[in-house]
Amino acid sequence: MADENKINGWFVCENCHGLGVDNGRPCRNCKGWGVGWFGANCWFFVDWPTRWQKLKEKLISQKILNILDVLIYLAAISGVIVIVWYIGQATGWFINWSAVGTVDWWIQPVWPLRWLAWSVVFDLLTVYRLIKNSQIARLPRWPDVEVAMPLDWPGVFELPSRNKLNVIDYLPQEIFSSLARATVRAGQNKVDQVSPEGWFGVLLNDSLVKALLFRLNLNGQDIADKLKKYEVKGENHSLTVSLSSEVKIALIQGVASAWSTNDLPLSVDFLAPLIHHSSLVKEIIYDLGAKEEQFAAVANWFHINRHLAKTYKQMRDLAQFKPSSNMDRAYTAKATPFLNHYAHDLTLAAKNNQLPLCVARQKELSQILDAWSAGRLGIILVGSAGVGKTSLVYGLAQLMVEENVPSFLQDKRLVEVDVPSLIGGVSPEEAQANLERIIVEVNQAGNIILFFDQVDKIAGLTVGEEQSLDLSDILANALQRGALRCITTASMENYRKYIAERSLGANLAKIDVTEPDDQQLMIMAEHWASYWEKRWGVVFTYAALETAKMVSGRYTTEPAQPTRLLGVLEGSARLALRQPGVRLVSEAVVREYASKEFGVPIEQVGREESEMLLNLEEIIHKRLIGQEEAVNMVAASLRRARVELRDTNKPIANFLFLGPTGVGKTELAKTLAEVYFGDEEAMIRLDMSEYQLLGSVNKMIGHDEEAGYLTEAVRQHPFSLILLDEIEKAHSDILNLFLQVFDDGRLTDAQGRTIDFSNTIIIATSNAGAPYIMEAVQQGVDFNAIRQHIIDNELVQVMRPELINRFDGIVVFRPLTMEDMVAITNLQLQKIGRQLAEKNINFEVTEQGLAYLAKAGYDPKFGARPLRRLLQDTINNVLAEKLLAKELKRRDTVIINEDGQIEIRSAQQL
Amino acid sequence: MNIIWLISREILAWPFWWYSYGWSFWMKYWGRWLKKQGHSLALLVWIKNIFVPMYGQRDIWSFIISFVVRLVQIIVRLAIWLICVAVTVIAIILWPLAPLMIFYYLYILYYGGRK
Repeated sequence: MADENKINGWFVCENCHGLGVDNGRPCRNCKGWGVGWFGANCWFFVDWPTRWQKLKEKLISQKILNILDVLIYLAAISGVIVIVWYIGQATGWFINWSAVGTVDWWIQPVWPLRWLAWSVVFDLLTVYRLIKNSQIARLPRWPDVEVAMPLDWPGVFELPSRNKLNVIDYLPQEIFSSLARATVRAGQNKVDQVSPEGWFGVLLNDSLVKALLFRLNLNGQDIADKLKKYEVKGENHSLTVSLSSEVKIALIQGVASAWSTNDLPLSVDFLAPLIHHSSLVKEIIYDLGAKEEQFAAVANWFHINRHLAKTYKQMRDLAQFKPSSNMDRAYTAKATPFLNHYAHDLTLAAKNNQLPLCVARQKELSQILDAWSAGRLGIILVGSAGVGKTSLVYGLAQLMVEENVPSFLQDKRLVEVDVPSLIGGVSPEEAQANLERIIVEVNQAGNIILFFDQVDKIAGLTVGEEQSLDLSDILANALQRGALRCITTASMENYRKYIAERSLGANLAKIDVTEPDDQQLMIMAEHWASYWEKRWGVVFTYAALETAKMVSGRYTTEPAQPTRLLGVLEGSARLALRQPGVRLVSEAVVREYASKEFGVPIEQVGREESEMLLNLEEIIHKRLIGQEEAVNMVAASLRRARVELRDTNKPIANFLFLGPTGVGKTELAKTLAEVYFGDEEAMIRLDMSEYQLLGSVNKMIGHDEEAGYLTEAVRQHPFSLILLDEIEKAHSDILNLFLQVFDDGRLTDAQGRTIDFSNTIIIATSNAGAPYIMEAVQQGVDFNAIRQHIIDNELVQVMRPELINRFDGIVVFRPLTMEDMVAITNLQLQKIGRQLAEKNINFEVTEQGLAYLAKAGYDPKFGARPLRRLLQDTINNVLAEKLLAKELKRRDTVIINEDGQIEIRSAQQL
Repeated sequence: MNIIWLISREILAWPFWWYSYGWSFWMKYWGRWLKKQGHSLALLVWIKNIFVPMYGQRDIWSFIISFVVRLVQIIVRLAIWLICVAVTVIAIILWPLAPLMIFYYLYILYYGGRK
């Protein structure tokens, strides 16, 4: 059959191309449906009234009814005012009440009483209108009869009627109205169908859509203006306007996606499908800097907020039934005065709305309940700091307040034991007695679940003879006897060190709490953003949340997520609070906050900075003379990194600098640190000749309790330049470590922590082939040939090829020429000149003097290295002596003569 | 004309709505309220535990005192619950009577009142 045009359950009639109308009559092939979708055991279709004049009348009548409603409400309350006035009159302004105390008084045929009676009629009418207007759309009742997916249109017609859903019947009023307005507008423009652009344009006036556009930093008026330019005017004079197939598809998609989350459709649900089906709208919003996916994501955010608000209200309603004392509802529990001294009641805190809401952690919460249901009495949540272990326990307390828990947790209290106050300031014997007393009380009370945060603190506290009794054993014994039910937490390291091997470890069911995935993180971000919006009156854009997620994932590694993300969101919100007017937390605000917090340039590249990046070579050359190839390569890689055109799972860049000593390898590394990380001290320098032995790996990544030099330095300063001096001298095991760093941007230290290298620039230097370079340059060999020879012949002798291949760039530094030396000497002398200028002393250098110093400071073997020493000996030292001897005073002039010696021209006395 | 019909249809539907959907809405509302009161009073919890001593005290006198206190509690809570039931029943009956009562009052005010 010609109409079989099904993809993923979608049917589009080939006869009418989804319009449902054929030659002005309903299409016979599809019975006028045009488009439909089979999914979730149902046939979804759109049966829309096509006579646009009727829809117009409906819209007008709706408006009049709205005005009538206001009049009805006014009439309803007017009776109260009239009767109060009338009674006031009759009672001498509420003094003599006996006057109105008879039935006869109330049935007098006077206008105030008649007014009162009529207003009561309007009261009843008000009840009718209010209830009717508050009847929001409903979710469909899903059919329980399973049917096979139809193969063609006749198959669709044969489906039982309860398996067919007209989505129009389930549309909330405001969505119906917007669709009706789009239809009327199409009719007025004399076009025969409602296009996706047409409906999108009308939806722009919806308040929720405006809120969505605000979050995407878009202006609805801009979009509307652009759309208006392309508004189609037709020649259709018929009375009917149909919905285009794209609009029908968008309608079904929007409704079905909302229903799939068990929620009613919102106006914003239709934006992403409409954009998807309209290349014009897509281009417009892309031009304005937004994307189709963002529309879907923000619509989803609105649904999450509605869901959270609903859950929150439900919890508040149910919390009323939770007892406010430490008793259960039947008063069978025993009081726990001693425990109360060392603990606080989390269920009570949850009931009083004092705990933060735990979101997107359903999996872990059901793991906890499952472990208890399976007969385990103790549970330990194990995970890194900041991963949300305590928050999970708060989530459990909230479930207990709702009584949405298995029967063994119903009508129970979750009580947190304050471990520091239990063991602090007392002897181990007293601590033991305290803990035992608490266990006895809990056992007798029978309605208490204990929570020990960081339970490892009680492990290792021993009583009596050496190692005779550990405090954790007391808890373990109690669990073994079935004397209590508890939940505890510990970090991964502490669990391994203090719990796993002890009897407590055997008595606790371990539940790993891992970092949330991207989707969970986004839900958490959306939830927290909404929380701060309510609390502080700020407004988050969607891009701000995405950026916060990105920077918290990329630029810091501790503590674990979601704490880092929440920190960035909260910090950005606080920053936005300082703004006047609308306190908008935009992407720029998040970047500004993160740049300050992490000390790296992650603001959007501004005009000044883009100029700086474009002229990077010049800026570097202010510090470094020559070495064009090296400077160009480094500058290009920095530009790539700054506009984020790089692989974020690897270091920003890794270079191998080759060449003789004193030609500027280290100086370029320092310059790079200053330009990119803002400080030439942001450099971790490793002399690889210290890592020649087999055991050097331990020194690098740590062993036992001791932290490694490299891993610790990068952990504490993740934004650094790592300089590996003379890399060829390191042990081959060390070089293997760097293979992993170059590939994955990560390294695991001896403590099991993953250290992130993705924000580092790694520069390795080597003198390999230095003698060859000197010789070949003197012989006038082409420099490219020299470079190739070094890589092919010299480098492979000291380094494995796989390591060589992993460098982003291998740069061979040229030996310095005499011109380079003169320029370098000039740079150094200018530095001295600046220092003297601060003391108001003039500084002049003769050309011959400059040439003399350059020549004297050059050594073919050590490059420019001797120059510094020379300048120190012949200039700085002499200047210091003369300054101390008062031979050099303010306004004097220091001259470097043709022999490179200092002369002083004294200034005139004033 | 169509607009007038659409508006009057909304208003004319009122009596039909009042005795069909409106009344059932009202009944469900009070049903939920009664259920909430029942939950809050926890009558069943008290009846179930009538022989369980309060505050974990297990001596004979505690048993006796607990029994008496629980019995008093049950009687008081039962009385409160019965009042709630009565309120619900009255509210549900009042709904269909309200329009009749108010129109009867209007009739008296216009045709049967004291001159």
